[in-house]
Amino acid sequence: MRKKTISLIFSLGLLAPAAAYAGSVPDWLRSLAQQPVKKYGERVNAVVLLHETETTVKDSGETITRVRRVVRVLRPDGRITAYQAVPFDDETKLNYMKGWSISATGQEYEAKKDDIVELSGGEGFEVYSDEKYKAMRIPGVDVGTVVGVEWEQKRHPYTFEDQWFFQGRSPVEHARFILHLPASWEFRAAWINHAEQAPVIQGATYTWELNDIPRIEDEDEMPHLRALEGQLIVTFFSEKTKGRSYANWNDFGAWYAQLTAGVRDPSPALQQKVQEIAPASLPLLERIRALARFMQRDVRYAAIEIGIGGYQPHPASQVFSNRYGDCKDKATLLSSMLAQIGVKSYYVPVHTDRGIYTDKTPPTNGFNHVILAIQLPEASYNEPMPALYEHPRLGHLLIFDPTSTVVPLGQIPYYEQDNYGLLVSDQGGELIHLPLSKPELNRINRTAKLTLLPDGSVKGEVQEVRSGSLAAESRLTFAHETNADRRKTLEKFLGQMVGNFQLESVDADNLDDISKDLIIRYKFNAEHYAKNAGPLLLVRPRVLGEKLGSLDTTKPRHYPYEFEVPTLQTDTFEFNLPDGYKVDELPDAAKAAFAFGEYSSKIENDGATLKYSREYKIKATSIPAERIGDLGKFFREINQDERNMAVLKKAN
Amino acid sequence: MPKLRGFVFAAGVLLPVALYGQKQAWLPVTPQDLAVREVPGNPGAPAIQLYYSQDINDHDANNEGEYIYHRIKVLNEKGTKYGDVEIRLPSDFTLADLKARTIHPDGKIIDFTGKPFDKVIAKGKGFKYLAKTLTLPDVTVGSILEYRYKLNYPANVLPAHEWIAQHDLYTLKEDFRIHSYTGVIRGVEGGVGLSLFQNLPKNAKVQRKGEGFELQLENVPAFDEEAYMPPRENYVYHVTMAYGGREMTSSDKFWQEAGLRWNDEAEGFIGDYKEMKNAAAEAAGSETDSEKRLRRLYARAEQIRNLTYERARTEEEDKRENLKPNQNVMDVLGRGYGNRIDVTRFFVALARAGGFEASVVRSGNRSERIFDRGLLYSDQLDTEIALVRLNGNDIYLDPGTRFCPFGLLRWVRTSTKGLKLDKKGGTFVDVPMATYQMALIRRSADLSLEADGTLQGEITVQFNGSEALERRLEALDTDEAGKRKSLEDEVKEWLPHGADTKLKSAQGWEVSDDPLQARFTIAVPSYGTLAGKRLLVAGYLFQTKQRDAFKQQERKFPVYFPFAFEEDDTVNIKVPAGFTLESVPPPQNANIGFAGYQSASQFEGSQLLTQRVLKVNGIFFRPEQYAEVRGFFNTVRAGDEQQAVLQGGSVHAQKNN
Repeated sequence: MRKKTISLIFSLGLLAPAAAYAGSVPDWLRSLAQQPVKKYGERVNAVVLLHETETTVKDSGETITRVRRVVRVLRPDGRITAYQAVPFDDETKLNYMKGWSISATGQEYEAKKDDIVELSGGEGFEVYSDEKYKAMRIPGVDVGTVVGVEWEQKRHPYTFEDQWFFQGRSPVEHARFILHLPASWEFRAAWINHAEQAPVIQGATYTWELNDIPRIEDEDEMPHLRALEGQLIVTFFSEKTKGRSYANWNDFGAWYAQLTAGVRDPSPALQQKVQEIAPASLPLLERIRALARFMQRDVRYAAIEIGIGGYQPHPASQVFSNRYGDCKDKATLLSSMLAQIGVKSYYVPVHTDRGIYTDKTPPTNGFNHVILAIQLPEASYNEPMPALYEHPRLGHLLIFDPTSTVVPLGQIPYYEQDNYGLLVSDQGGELIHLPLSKPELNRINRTAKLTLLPDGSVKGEVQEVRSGSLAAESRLTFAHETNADRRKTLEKFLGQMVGNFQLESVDADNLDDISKDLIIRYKFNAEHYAKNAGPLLLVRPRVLGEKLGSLDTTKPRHYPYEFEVPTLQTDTFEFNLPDGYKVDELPDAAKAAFAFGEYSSKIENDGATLKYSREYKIKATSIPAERIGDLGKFFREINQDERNMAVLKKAN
Repeated sequence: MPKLRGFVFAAGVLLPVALYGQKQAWLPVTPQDLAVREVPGNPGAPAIQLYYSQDINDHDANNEGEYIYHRIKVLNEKGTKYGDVEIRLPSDFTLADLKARTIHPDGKIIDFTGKPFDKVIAKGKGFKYLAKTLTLPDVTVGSILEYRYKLNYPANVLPAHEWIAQHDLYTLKEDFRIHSYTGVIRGVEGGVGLSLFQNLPKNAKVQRKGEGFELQLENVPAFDEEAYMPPRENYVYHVTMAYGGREMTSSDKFWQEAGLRWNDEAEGFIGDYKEMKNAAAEAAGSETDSEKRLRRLYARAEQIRNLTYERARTEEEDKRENLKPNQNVMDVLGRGYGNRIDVTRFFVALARAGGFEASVVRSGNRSERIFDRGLLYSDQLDTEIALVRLNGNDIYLDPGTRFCPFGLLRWVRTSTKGLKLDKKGGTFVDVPMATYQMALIRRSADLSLEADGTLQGEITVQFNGSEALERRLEALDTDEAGKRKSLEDEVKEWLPHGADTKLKSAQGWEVSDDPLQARFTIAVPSYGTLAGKRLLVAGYLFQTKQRDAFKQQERKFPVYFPFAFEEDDTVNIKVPAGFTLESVPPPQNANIGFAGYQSASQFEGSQLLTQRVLKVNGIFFRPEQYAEVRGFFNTVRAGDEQQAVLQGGSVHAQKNN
């Protein structure tokens, strides 16, 4: 599903300096350039003096949007403001695009037509998308320059809404959204990440104005920008646009349902294939599993998005015939195949970044992915499935992503867990909270049997058993690599913690069988792993694996800290001690327990062996900013434990 | 009609592309094709290219163009991505006769019957880059995917050609042909010839065939880049071709003609102006020592505002700021600005005016491509440095690089060939390597270890030579806050995980000769680790920045560093009260031909003092040297991780309170 965003595309090579001329810099820009300069933090690259969007809806439904944006460059890195890009496609015409600059010394420049190039757009994953950009280079931009751009788009939208993003990486001094509606039209305004504000009304013109909007800071493991930035969603209603405006999620679901009506009709070949790969002789769940696997393995992901094709799937028969399609195509074909075995399923549009849709999000068309909710008949399964959603009316819904090639039926990718999706049923739509798996389902269990030699060398064998999301993520790389590249991957991993090593062998089980745990085994030896200090041998018992997250505790935290998925990870490393050496001293056991996670370790010694074991458990996906101090303590304990050393002493 | 030579490579700008051709027919699928299951020597590879062909016809006006053919076999799920095809077209090229199909392992053929999409990669005034995209039907593991097409050139243009002999897939068989143009080329006098420049496997040979050439290759491995390798362009197998007149008949001839042209330009710019004599005299003052006189002239040239290191301006901006192209050194002298070549020539003029024998040396950039004399592409030598005779020795100078101190060249212009210009066209010279002494980082740490293992204190870092120059050039694109962040981030990279770093002061950003010096306060939690009543602490603080280069056991390409370097460090750690020394890290010493490492720790009073020197006097290490170099850096890492052991009875209790 298409994600419509305005982003900057920088194509410096193509936008070579062309002639510019001091042209008709508009008064509104001159006026803003004369505003007193406010003080900002030393790392703020630019400040937005004005972010103005003016939308005029015509009675025919045609929408004209004019944007004015004025930015003052504060630092050299802010000179990138000289490059501006605006999207358009077959349904959105860019009427014009203009740009000017006024330097700190008052020199005025205007971009010419030669300063504009057209570039292909899309998100990059498509084989083809009709989305394009006009990118403009504005001359004369340096520190202190005020840059102004104005463009106008004419749209014939599929759905009648405007998403106004008024916050971003730069602070905004003044933002304004102006809406002109035909007399008989109505609107509904909803705010995201900002307090609700009433418009100033003059006839059929509605104006919202905001001042001094702070920028979104950059922090480690923060939520997606769109989950944080302030937005105003304005939906327009008219008798003429019935079915293309939505007052609630149910209406939105109804729109999507009518858009997809009929696309799941099967062809005879499709029906025959279903009988072939999911014969009636199999138990129902096995039939579903066989169809799901067919979709994951045998239907290639390939996105072609033209016009409404950004939202509307291709017919199931066509996807089946081509054996390729994008996410919504794959969902469509699987839904059609499931219907052939009597299993009903429902589209679930989602966004692949958690936090953009929440239970508070008003109906808005910003999904970028489609998965499926499969209605399981009672007693069709007898195993616990973390992807199961219990719906009060539709019963057991198994959430499944046919686009993922590594997440089996019964589980969902981590980025969809604890996320929200729109369940599109025959009755319309409703936003549902997608299930979050338990830590115990996403495991790494690493065990190592090692032999330590008197010179500090270590050698031995390691086994890692990965399950759930952690198996899926590893398969994405490890299973799809050549043997040589797998070695390189492991060498990189080992090299972070161990120097002077030789990787002797690498072996893996269940690389392709995504229904099973991924098992990776390897043997290595490393010289000088333990350090000799006179009669002592100093050994770090935590040989492998780093659980320490990246967190800057020296600055105030603004946003939650995010983990991908709840997880339980254990390490057990056993060392055979060198002859003649005994444990002299051991570091303390580690223990940290918070609501979001737990960490503990211990070292045991039976004379001949040293056994280090630890458990790392993350129970939440998001830690609020106000609890970041606890996270700092948690990481400090881990850091200490990961660096600790045991002291062995040579017996006299 | 005479043709124009083009400068756009027809195939070189294409992405995944290949061909068979002239016959305009599919090749038969052989039992061998069907039997292929994996890439020889690389099990797990996603796909293999069974056949690739590029067939160029410049000879037959009715059929000119380039025919390309790909046959790829999908070996596993990841390989199905080769079902998506994007064919990029150089500006004004068109694509014709595109055919594509999927062949299943059982022999079933599914033709691509759709229409490829026209994708605008970029379009602006005077250029239009398009791509054709398509996705093949019913691609499964085991399928053979093939597509072929013809590229048509713009009318009356002969593009420069390139045979792409190495791809991102292992290729079993490759055929290349060119039937060359023999007519008249506008602007080329005398006979027209096609020159070939090649980087191919040892056993491969381009054969002359009629009025053209051909090449067959088998079992060409995929080009798989490695970190820290020399520029890709010097290693990927390819053949470039260009039409030309007599200058293209040999590399000597080519570079001589280029040298003559450059010499005319340079000497015309430098001239022989009496005002320059005055300027040189004024700059040198009463100094009589030759080297000091030359240094003063160099410093004078460095005072010229160097526009190469300022932001790019439009013509209009230049006009408003009254910035004009310089025609000669008098313009540079009068206006006080110029680009890097202007400044270099200005310096050469000053040096000559000051009585020195000085030359212009045409130079390249080895970060992009290591100079290849056999590749007749004049942009390989795209800038200039100076060569001056001083006290009987030749010294290379780089006044055109901002902040480049006297006696140093920017690394991209070292360890490579240059063309010393003269009236006859010039002589190739070896621009020497900058030795390790010319890139020195000197660090001094004065720190205290707390009883809980936290290390804190101050470190002073001094960047010298190339180490200072590179940071100064990078800092030109930012401000004080950016410089601070850049230094803090860099120091953080040297320190153990979780370290906090704050810059206290920095000086030397805007000068050439003095070191760039910075002071930091740092805090490293858990630096010392507790084990019972012992406190274990590494005597050496910093991590070697090259450690990532040597994680892999095997290496296909050389390891390549930008410049030789030296690290000279002193780390002084005050241990917590109540602790006594049990042992200091043993001294470390390692030497190989081009590198040396020494580290020694001692305990004095309550101070653990470690002194450590690492010198690497090489930049290019062949794969057969890799094990030795890796072993050396592993020794360095192991040495740097050595621990001091301290004894203290009260620590345990403190921690648990």
